[in-house]
Amino acid sequence: MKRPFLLALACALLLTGCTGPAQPTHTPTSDPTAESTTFAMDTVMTFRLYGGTEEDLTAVTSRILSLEQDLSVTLEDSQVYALNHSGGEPVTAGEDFLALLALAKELGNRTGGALDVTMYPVVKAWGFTTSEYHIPDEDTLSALLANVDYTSVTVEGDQVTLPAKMELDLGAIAKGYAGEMAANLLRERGVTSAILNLGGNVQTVGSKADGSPWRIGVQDPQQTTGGYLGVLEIRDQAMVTSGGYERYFEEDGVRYWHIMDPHTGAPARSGLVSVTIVGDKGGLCDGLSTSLFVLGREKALDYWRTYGGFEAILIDDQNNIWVTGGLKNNFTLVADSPYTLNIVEE
Amino acid sequence: MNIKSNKFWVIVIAAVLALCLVAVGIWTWWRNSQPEEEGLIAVVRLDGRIVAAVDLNKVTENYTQTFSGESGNSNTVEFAPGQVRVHDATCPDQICVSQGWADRTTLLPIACLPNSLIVEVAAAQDLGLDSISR
Amino acid sequence: MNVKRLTFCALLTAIALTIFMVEAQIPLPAPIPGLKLGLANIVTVYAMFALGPRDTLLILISRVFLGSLFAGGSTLPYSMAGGLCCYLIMLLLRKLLTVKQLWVCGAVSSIFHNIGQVAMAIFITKTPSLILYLPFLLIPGIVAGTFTGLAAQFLLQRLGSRIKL
Repeated sequence: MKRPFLLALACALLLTGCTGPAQPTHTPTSDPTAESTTFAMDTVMTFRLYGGTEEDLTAVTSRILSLEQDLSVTLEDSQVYALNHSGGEPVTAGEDFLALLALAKELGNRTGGALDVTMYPVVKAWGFTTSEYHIPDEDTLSALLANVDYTSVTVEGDQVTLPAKMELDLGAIAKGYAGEMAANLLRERGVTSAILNLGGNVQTVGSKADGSPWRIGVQDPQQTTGGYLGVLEIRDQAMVTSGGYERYFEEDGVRYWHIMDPHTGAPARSGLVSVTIVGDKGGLCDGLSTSLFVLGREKALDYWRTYGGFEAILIDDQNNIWVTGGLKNNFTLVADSPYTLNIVEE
Repeated sequence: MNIKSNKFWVIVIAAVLALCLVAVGIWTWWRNSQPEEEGLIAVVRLDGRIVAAVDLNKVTENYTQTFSGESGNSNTVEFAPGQVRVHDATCPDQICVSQGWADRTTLLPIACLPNSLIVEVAAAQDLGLDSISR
Repeated sequence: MNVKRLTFCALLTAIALTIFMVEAQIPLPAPIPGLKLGLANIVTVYAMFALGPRDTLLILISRVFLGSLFAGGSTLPYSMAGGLCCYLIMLLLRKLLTVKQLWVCGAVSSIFHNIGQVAMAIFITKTPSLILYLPFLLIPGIVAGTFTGLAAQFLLQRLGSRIKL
């Protein structure tokens, strides 16, 4: 054959046709050695251990269920429930409760009250606890806000006091903390590779079984169901995202989401639509994802420069993504993204 | 073999045809042999940009979203548990609508060329993700 | 270009356009964008061998442009890319093939028409996986192309020598 170029060209085109687009770009890791899906803390949790056993899985699950038992705002024999119904009398708190209160107080102080664990009555008034949404009127809100102040929670030893009429909810930090505790427990038990997803809060232990980092998608805030806008590679860290898309309702074309600004008692309108925090401590990440959402980009980045200890991905309502310097080599936007990527240096 | 001979061209054309059949066969086999992963992503592209990426396995009830392009044309895409289709469109040929539902084993992406809209369905494993933070 | 030649080109363009419009009324056997018999290619193949590259290009471009105007919708870039790809390979085939091998020209040019279409679609939509459409277009395309080429071959054999331009 003197001129096999046609054939060669056709072959080349066809071969790219059947192998090109759909081949996995990453070699799949081996299957998990233990895996489970649990419903706890009002959400679906999936745990995948690589090298761990069913016993490790059981230990993690029971640790999380006991945390829920202690910290739930709705379960009648929880410590939080007891505090909310104490009528201002001191209540005995367990180790986890105390740790979370300390974290909540620190974050509240550092963010100028952008995280306030006593917002529960306001959240209830908007209907976010029952899904029977409605917009409370000004008078109702100002009356409720009078009883919102995380600084009036006092701790002496293991005794916690909450003024009557006030109600406390650790929901903004409990899931992240639960992931953090679960990861610690797994590390203690010698598990070196695991990935936990607690209703969207991702907690990793070590790296993947083949030693490569975990690849975690970041939810696209414009999509309500599972789409993602980029991939972040992490090892041994927690990654928590808060966004207005998680829980919201719409009235007269306006979207009202569940992330509340404690100063206004209304959904936080800071220009941000999603905040992802990556760090070593899941509880801190969880609290920061909510409070930096409330603060808005400028103040959030000020917070990052002042305190550090975590990295962040901020997405605003103008399709801009702001990624802090520590993540610049680990974050990849999906191809042809509608978003503009900005790297923030210190 | 002489390039001017009929025999040469019959072989070339038959080879291309055979390759096409093999490609279709391999692709059909590959699409059907993929394990049912937890993620099944429908990617919608309009005018060359990804405008939506939806995990079809997380869709619990059908919903529609309308995508309007630069040319003023629009396609309404219906997302359903495990599948996706173009529900209606302003294009003259309506091929995208008649392509029907696309799911995990569908061989071809839905394409509305007049409106530059593509809907692809890919297993999430292809994207190499371990989890999604949301 | 003399008047006779211009008239003949215009006539061929009109014929191609008519074939194109009639063909557009035939329902597609499968909902695949770009899938069609390509009967208008009879005229292109015929013109390439009877009139030469310059006139063929004019006829082709006019037909594609007017066709997309009449058919509505913005598929012009796709048919133009396909048409030009098809034209380029025909320039080469013209040197290689005898008048009794126009069926080869029909088949091969239809392959390149499809390659051009798909490449343009990938370029415009930035979706590489559209290449999957190629084998699905090529299989019927080669069969139909062989027959349109054969039609052009008979046309040339019966008509070619009688036209004096």
